[in-house]
Amino acid sequence: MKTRNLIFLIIITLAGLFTSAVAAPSVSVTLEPKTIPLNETARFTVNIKNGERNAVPQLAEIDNLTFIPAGQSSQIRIVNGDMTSVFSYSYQVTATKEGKYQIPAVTVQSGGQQYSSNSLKLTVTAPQKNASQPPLQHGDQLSDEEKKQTAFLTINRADNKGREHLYVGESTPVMIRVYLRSGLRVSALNKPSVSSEAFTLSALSDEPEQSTEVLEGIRYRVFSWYGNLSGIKAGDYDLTTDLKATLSVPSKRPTNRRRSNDPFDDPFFDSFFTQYESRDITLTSEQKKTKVITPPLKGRPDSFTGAVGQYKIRASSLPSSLETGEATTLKVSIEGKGNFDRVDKPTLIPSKTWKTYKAKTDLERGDIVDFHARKNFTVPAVATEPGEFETFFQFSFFDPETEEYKTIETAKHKIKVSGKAVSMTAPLITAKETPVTIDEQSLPVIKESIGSLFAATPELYQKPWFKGLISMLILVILGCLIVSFLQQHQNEHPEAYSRRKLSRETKRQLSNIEANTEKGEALTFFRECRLVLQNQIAQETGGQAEAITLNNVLEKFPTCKTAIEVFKKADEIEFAALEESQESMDEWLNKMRVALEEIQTPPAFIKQQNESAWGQVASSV
Amino acid sequence: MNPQKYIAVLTGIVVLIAIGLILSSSNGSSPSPEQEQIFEQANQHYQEQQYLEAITKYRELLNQDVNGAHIHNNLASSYQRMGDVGRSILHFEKAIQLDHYDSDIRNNLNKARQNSATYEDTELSNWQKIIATFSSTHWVVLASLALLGLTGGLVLKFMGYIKPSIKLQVFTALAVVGLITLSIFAVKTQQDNLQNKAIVLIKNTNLRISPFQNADQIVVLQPGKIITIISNKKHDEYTQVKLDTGKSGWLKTSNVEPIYNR
Repeated sequence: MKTRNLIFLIIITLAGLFTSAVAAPSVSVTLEPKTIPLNETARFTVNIKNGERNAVPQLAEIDNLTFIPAGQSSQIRIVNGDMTSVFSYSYQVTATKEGKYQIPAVTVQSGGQQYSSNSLKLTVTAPQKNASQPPLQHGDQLSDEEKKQTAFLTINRADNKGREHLYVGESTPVMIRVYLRSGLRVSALNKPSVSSEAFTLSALSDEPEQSTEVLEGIRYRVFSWYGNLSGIKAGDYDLTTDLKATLSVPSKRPTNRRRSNDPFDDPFFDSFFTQYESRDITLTSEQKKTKVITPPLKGRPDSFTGAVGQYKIRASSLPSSLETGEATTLKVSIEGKGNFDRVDKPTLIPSKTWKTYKAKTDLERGDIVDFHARKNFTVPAVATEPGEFETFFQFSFFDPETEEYKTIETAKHKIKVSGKAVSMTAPLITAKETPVTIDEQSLPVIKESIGSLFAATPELYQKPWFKGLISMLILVILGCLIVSFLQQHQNEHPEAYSRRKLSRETKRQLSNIEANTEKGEALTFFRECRLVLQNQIAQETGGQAEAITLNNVLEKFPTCKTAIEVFKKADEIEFAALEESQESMDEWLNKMRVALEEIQTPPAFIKQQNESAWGQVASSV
Repeated sequence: MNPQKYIAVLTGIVVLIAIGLILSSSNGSSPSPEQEQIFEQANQHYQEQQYLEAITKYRELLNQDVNGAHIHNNLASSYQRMGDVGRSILHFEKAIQLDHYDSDIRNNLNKARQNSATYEDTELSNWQKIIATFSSTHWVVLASLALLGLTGGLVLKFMGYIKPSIKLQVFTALAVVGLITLSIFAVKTQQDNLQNKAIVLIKNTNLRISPFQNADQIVVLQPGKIITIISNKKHDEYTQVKLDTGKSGWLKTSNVEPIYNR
């Protein structure tokens, strides 16, 4: 018993301790401040003490009041063994209407029981100036009015001096400003641009200046760019600028609706981490009627090339002496305010004595706000005329402030040019129409007589007879050359020529012999046969053909049987006056041919013998 | 007469005839009485400052398919008096072609160019000076005479009438060949220079980048400017040309006229 009681007592004590350590849940709300102007916000906090972790407050819907979750926190404390946990849910309260509002008790479900807070009162008064405004409201679409309040763009001429119009080519400084309401999260901000084709925007500052401004009670963050606006086309236009930006906006509007039993439909999930999404917007400034006009024609100097602004001219490095044709480099600068794209190379005076070429340019920009710049020209030039003269640069521009043309010059500089006049290529283009004037001294001389006439076509060398004549001459020359060459060759190789000549002669004779064969004249036949043989033997051995006899043949050509036979026969016919039949003569003709071959190609040792035999005969004689 | 002498005499006759033909052909022909009368009438109009009538008469002569340096000169003078710079320079150029050595015509041309500020590069190289010594016709005559001389000499040598030394033969041959080569080159160069040359006739003639009316303009040409026609490059009413600066472009065919007469 004693033991049983002791155990019971211990249990009771522990239970008491436990219960004393964990207090019951409670819900309380706070509102700061309790009175707000219409364009301000109040902070509403729900504190859940000792509630379950997943206990979330349930807010009642109140007309004209909006509760925007602004975060939550938790706290656990243990004091003297007492553990206390507090989960706090914060909301920003905005009102759309003045008045007094009763915020009812907030209920919380925890541990199967419902707990309620106290109710509070909120008083919304008229809006005050310089009061802060609530941030961008949630929503998938923003109305134009909302956007205007949220962000807008302006463009203003920084210095128009009361003149609304612009001149073509004139540059005017402009300030472009973007106003974004405080509280807006901007993740990207592009540079502004001009949408009209009649204007150009240049020299825009890289980074905008940032400031804050309050307009009609609304605080804005302001981004300012400075740039140069130029009108490039005459006419009446609506000047607008555009700017693209990316804003981060909360992705869902918090609802005060009753939660369902779906465990996932729990505001804990969408209020604990506030979700933001990117929204791309394009801001366009209000249209501004702007007129662009062309500088007047009246009073426009010839050297005007389109520069509009206010400029000064400065030259440096002009030489004191030069020679004609000598290239030199001259430097001149134009500085001031205006559109330097239209600032061309100044004219070098006197222009007739100088030939200038394409200049190298260099632009130095000054203060970005002031649009002051300087354009430097490096001008290659050649003096073409000798003499001593004053040289200077001249530049014309249109001043939009005084609305008149101005021509400015550098200081005159004396230059001495020596040498002869240099003729440069005359310009192909004449700037102006020049009337034809006839200098009496330069009148042409006319001819009194008609002179020689030529046929219109063709040229002498194209005429057929001329071509024929030249061809004939060339052939004659070639013929002479060929003949001379042949003669020379003959002189250098007489044996070859005589052989060829003998061969031709032999052929001719054989032809005659054949003819005589047909005629049946044996005497003539054999005479000619003998003559042919004599000529051949004379060719081979030298000497006179007519002096060769049968004995000579027997001595010199003992093996040429056929030749000997023909020679013998020829002698017989000659001396005995014998007759032969035609058939016999045909046979003898064939033998003649064989005899000729025998003589033409005798064996080598026979030839030597013949030559030595002749030598012996000659020596014996 | 033996055959050799016969051939030599015949050759001599042929050479002489050829020389005569060449020389007479290069010097042109005499005008007919009618042509002389028309020329005188034209000159009369000129003296009376009736330049348009004078131009008509001179053109009547040219329409007879004849060319005369004096006709072109006087025609050019008439145009100049009327202020037609382009045609004036054109006809002076044509006149120079026909009579290379006439100082009056040359001076007239220089004056016309001076008045119109269409100077040409007159600084010739040495080679160009040699070529410009004779007209193309006279170069042809020189070459022909040299060839004839060479032919005659060869024939005489062949016949045995002359026996020149080897040195003389070589020298003569080289000289003749050199002269012929030079003549051919000179004629070819002159013809190339003249063949496609034309004169701009119309004021403010636009040289465009392509043969269309709205094509971008390269440069504006004034009358009297010599341009080179790029042969076979035509499109509709446009012709492709090149300037002495090397720039090429297109201009209206009717705005230019070739210098070359034949």
